[in-house]
Amino acid sequence: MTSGRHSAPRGQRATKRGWFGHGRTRALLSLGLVFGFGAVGTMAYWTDQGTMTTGNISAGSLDLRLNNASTLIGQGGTWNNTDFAATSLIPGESVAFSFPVRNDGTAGFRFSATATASGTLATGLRFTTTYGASAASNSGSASAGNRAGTCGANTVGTSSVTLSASSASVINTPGVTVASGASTTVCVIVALDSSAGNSLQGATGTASYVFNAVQLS
Amino acid sequence: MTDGARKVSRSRTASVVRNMLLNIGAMLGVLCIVVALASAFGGITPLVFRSGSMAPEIQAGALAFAKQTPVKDVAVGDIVSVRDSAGTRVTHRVVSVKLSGGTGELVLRGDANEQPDAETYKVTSVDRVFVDVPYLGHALGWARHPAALFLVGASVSALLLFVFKPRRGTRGGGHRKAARVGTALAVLGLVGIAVPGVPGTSAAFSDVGTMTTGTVSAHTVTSQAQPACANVDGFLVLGNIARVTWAQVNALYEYTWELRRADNNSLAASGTVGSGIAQGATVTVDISTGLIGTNTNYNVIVRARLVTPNTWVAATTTTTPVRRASIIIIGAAFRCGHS
Repeated sequence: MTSGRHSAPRGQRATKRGWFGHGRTRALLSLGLVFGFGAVGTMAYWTDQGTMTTGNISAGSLDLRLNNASTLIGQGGTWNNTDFAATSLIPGESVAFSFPVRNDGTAGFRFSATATASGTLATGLRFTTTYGASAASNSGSASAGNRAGTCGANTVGTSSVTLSASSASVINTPGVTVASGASTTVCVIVALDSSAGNSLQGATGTASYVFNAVQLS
Repeated sequence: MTDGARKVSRSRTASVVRNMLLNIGAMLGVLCIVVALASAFGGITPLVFRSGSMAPEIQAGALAFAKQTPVKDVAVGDIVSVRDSAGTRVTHRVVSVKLSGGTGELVLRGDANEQPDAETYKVTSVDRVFVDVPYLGHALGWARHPAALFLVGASVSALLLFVFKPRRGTRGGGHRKAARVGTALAVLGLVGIAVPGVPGTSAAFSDVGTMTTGTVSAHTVTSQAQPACANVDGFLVLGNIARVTWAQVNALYEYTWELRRADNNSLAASGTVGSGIAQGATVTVDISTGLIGTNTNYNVIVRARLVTPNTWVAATTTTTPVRRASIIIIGAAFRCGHS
């Protein structure tokens, strides 16, 4: 410090020139900082205000849960919904089941769903997948052979679909939006087709629903 | 320290800071100009990662640069940016590519996601990520905030004023003019930096939940038990019949019955009974002489079925033997069992 004190003015003159030349040149180059990124997609901003509101960076988590807060915590998982079962269906009968799809993550998501079915009975079963606020409602009885399931005023994702071993979309993308902390009821009606053949007597089937949640941007 | 020494030291520090700021500003400025030119003419798109689905390789808040690439040049393992059906930009790693003509069907998966994206993207070209810088996206994100805009604007103005301000002892009319122009440019430039226009890429965090159902089973039509047979006598020699009865298995059932000759199995008579009868109640078929005129052995074959749809029938039948016989020469009767 003491030794450098006398050489200070010289040093000042030397650094003034810098790597990029004179201060003014460098200042002009600095303007590039201002215009550089600005050149990219400026029009998009002025024509679409919406782009500004979607700029959040989220380091949050995404967690889809089925049925309740403690089912399928974290990524992935399989919930065996044993309530989703029916015995001794006769052709024309249907039963409905519903459960909430919960968003326990920190950001909103939208989900779609695909489904597969296995077992001999799969060819005779028709799945109607709905979502909204309504839970399943079932009427009739097995002894009267007139069981009928309904899903209220829900939005129908897909209606009377025959599921097979190959995955089929039942709630199409982009899917259903669920805010963080909220849930949506998914209600499924499974019917044994009224023209199901005699060979399906006593046959059984199961289905598997895969819910794909994607973070809202 | 003397006053003079302090003054020299202060102005030297100021000079060093000023030079440093100018150098950094100039370097970033050149970088930005290069990026701007590259995006304008080279098909390069800057992307800000808004989520951490490509973590740990690319964290949320990273800035990446992607180059427009025809889908035929995309290889499995590349990180590419596409738009999904909702119009959201998704940047994930390529799991598989299926080419047909100039179009490719891409299956993508975020490194932090367990499953590939639900959607298969049909594209002709993608933006392939070739470099990424951690945290820089955050900086760009903050630059959009009004307070940040103000700060950036203020510092840019300060930087320009600092340089163009007339130095002591010089007649700086031109410098003063330059300072004003510089400030005006800086304010204009604010608009530029306010709108980095860098598309956010959601990289889409995802989660997959699977629900398996219990078993759904179809009804099995159960056959009735072996029917009972009773000889029921009418008045004198008239109306002597064989009465075949069994318990209704299920209220949903009815029964088809057939009367067939035991020797050649030819059908003598048939009918349907049991519809509407409660479970456990008796279902009855009366086999009377009016049905057939030949005295021989017969079988009553009964099969259960659903009333609706009546195509669903029991797998097995019951067979009850009966016979037509003469009574006191002139009369005739159906009796249980074969002769």
